[in-house]
Amino acid sequence: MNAEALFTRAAAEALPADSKERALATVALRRIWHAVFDPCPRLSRLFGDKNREFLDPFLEHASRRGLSMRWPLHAHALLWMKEKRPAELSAPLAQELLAAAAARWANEDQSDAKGMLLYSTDAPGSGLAAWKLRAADQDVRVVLIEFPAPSLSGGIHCAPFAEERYPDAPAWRPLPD
Amino acid sequence: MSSLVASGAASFVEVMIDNFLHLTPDALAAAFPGVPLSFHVMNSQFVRRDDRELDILSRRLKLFIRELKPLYVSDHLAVFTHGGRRLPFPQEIDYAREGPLALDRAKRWQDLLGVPVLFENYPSILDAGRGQPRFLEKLLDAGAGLLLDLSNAVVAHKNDAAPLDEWAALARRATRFHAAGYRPSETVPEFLVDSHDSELSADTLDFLRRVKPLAAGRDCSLVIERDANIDAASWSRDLAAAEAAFA
Repeated sequence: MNAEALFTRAAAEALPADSKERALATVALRRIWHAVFDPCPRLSRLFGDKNREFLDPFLEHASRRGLSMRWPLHAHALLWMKEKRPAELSAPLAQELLAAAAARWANEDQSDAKGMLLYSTDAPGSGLAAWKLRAADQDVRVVLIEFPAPSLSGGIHCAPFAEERYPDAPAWRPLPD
Repeated sequence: MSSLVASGAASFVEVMIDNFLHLTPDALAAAFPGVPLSFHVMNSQFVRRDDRELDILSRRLKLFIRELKPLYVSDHLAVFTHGGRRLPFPQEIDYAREGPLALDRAKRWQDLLGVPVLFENYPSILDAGRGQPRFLEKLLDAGAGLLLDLSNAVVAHKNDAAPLDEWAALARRATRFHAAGYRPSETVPEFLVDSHDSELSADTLDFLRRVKPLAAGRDCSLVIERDANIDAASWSRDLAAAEAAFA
């Protein structure tokens, strides 16, 4: 089947209505819906029953940009909202979206990094620190921390770290796709 | 989970090992003192992942395998990405188109880990799943192993992919088994999805009883998976029902 149909509603709806492939695409889009909204109650409340008005165009954008659909997805949703729906983007919502990205990183990253800082130049002076679980019976942690605003180009930046404590001089890198 | 082991209802624990690879093997072992473990790899993406990344992952896994000596190591026969993008959930391999590649990659992944890897069958939805039993036989013939998920076979059957009868030959060659709850998809209820959030169905228990004589005479194990709606009493009921049907 056309795997693009697993990422956007337009591609899904191009499949024959009564086909298994169309049904599978519907299931896949629902998985994305859950992945986007479940960790973000503020986002979910903001759009309520009209959540597709947010999700469908964002997923079209994600496909056009070839976004990886991995941990940075919520951070890209933040960037997209800033451009396309700025009136609806509050500071608490921006923080919620970044926290969702940070938590997903902590759950799915397979590198040796123990944690990661996530920083938006729109919120200077603070950022998020995420830690993978520290023991088999613990959970990941995401904490809002304050630090001097780094000198970075505008946008969202991340800095994985290998020690338990985040570094005083993080190795910032641009948000991946 | 600890209570299930302490009570004797479970004799070992299967660990989704990807979640712990940034820890030390000792730290993982400390959470399961004296309990035998098996490793279930969730996210190697061995079919489409580039060799460099797979090599790095294999080195971490080998450390855990060497130190903790799991009963077995298993992985998932599925594709996780399309054009480099993460799929919303793992998709079944198109055996006609991508089967030879998947076979090569499975062998390569097993070689990298240096231990037998048991590959788990997929809970098919699409018609392409009708080719799965034949593909798994090829995989076994090539020297890889099979983790036969019995409820996934039931799901595939009910989704009109591979018929249940076609799993008999594979059941004769497997020693490690899985079973879990499944449910109708939230959006397309005529399809069943492998959900791990409920007790075993009557159809799964029936299939366990059918497979039991095919597994007789071999040292076999069965894991009852539960990832959501985790409730010790419910999980215990599953373990008891599975033991009655399969042990």
